[in-house]
Amino acid sequence: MKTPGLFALPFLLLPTLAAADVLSSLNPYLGNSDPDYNPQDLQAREVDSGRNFAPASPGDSDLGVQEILGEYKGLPPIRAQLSTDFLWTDNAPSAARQLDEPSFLWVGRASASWQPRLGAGIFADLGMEAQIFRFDQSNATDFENYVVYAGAVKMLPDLDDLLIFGRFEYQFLNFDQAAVPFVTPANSDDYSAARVRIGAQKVLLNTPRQHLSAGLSAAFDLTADPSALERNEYALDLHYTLLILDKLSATLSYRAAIWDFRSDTGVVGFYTETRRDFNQVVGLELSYEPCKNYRIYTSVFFSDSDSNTPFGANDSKAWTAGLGVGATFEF
Amino acid sequence: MKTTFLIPVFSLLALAAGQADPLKSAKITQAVNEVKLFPDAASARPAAIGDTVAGSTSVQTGRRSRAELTFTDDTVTRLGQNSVFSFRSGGREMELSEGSILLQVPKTNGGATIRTATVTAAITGTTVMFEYSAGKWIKLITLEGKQKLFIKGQKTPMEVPAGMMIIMNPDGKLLQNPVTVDLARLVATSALTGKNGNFGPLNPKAESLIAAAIEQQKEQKRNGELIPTFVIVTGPGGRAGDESILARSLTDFRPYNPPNLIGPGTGPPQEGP
Repeated sequence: MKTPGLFALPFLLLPTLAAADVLSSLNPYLGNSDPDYNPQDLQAREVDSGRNFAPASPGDSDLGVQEILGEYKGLPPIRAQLSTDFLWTDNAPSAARQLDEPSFLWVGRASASWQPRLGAGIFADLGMEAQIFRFDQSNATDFENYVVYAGAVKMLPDLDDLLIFGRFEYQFLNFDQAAVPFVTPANSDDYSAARVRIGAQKVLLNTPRQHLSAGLSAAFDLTADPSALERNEYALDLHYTLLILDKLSATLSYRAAIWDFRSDTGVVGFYTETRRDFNQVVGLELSYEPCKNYRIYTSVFFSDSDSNTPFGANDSKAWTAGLGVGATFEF
Repeated sequence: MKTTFLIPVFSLLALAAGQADPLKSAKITQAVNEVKLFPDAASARPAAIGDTVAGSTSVQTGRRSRAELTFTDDTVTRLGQNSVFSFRSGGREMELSEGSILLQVPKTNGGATIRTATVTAAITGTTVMFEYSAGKWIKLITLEGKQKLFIKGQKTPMEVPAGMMIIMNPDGKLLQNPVTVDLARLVATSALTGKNGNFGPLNPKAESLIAAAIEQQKEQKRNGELIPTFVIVTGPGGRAGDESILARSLTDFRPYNPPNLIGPGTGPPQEGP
């Protein structure tokens, strides 16, 4: 646990922005809002579709934050997302783990989600996701990741719109390209886990140009294969987004997670202890939306994993950077 | 600058309904930073708290400046920064050429009509906020009560009750549908309502009605009829939390440590990843 949590330091400074005088001499309107406004675009009907604001205008510092509330009018659409990324990493996954081998990689992702209302203030949270990772280095390990989840989301207006959620997740990692997810039994190279994840999320700063939110979550494996990887996860997420221009945004994110394994680590015959890993990821992403539902982004991430496994066997550090494009569809 | 006042782009005509008294004069009850008075046919002078505004006097606020005018019938007008406001005594006519304004008209004062080149709003004692930004936006927000909007040449009104907002282009020929704005967040962050700035609270009756409108929205949130949309973040990355795939995968399932290589520590030492 030697890695300090200094990644989070920038976030500690951000809440001061919330207390800034609205008569600040800084011009908060670096961009121009598009006058081709369609109010239908603001009528979000999904819980998980981001926050909407009225278009920025010079009087906003006097009028106040104009957050648009979605109106629930029957079943919402299913939201599908497609994206592809071309990245570079200085530390590709490899069987030859003694090597810190850089590699280019391609990532494809498809997901679908649906949040219909179940009852008073409670929404279902259903979704699935598939990801494909391909590396150009022959020693790197190509793999696919598949996740399905089902749960519920509850808003608490009396606690300043605190959001709580719980979901069941099933994850399948395929390191054997011949396997068919959810159909072919996992072989020794594959990984699968069923878990329950619960959490709470709070918006700390919310303006048309800035958004800061924090979340706490815990995930408990019900089962995992191989069973040695059964674990509980306790995570903190921080997200800060600055809308630089109307269609250009920067997001700084940080995640700290403790993995509390149910298996032991150590040197057999000498000492053993419960394995614990501490993971941190800090990332910066610049995203541009050339048109509604499409975006182009570039990102850089640094991850650090620190385990109590002897000899640093499960420690790792990696830089990852690249470009991506994504699209969202509703039907 | 003065010619600007003579040709107001955005005109608020507050007309008394029947027996309501006309607006005769107003006192400056708040002036922050640069606030100037432009008396009719006279040179501009700085405004001070207690100054009386009458005739065809205009009030202008500069950058980082605000002002409040209280009329003899307790109608309150608060001006945001970079605003130009004027009225003519003897009628209930107000004009906003630029900027933002909060208008609180007590119910007992009868109705009022707010007119622009394309839109006319009829209100019957309510608290509303407006913004006119040339070439950009007209924003109309009803904090309590309701207003009816008419598009010029059309007879069918669009009702804008408390908590609703109209956003439209100043040159627009069609009324946009109103959207629901989060009143609690708006009021808490608004300088004109007095919650986040230099003004004091509105009169108790208006505050009570606004509080009731906020509570009604909160109840609709509890029922799930109104949705303060959120993104569920389960990993690092962009706004949706799942776009930066590789970074997320690092924490979720660690592809850099394939499962067959991260056993419980009984194997030979291995350097990560």
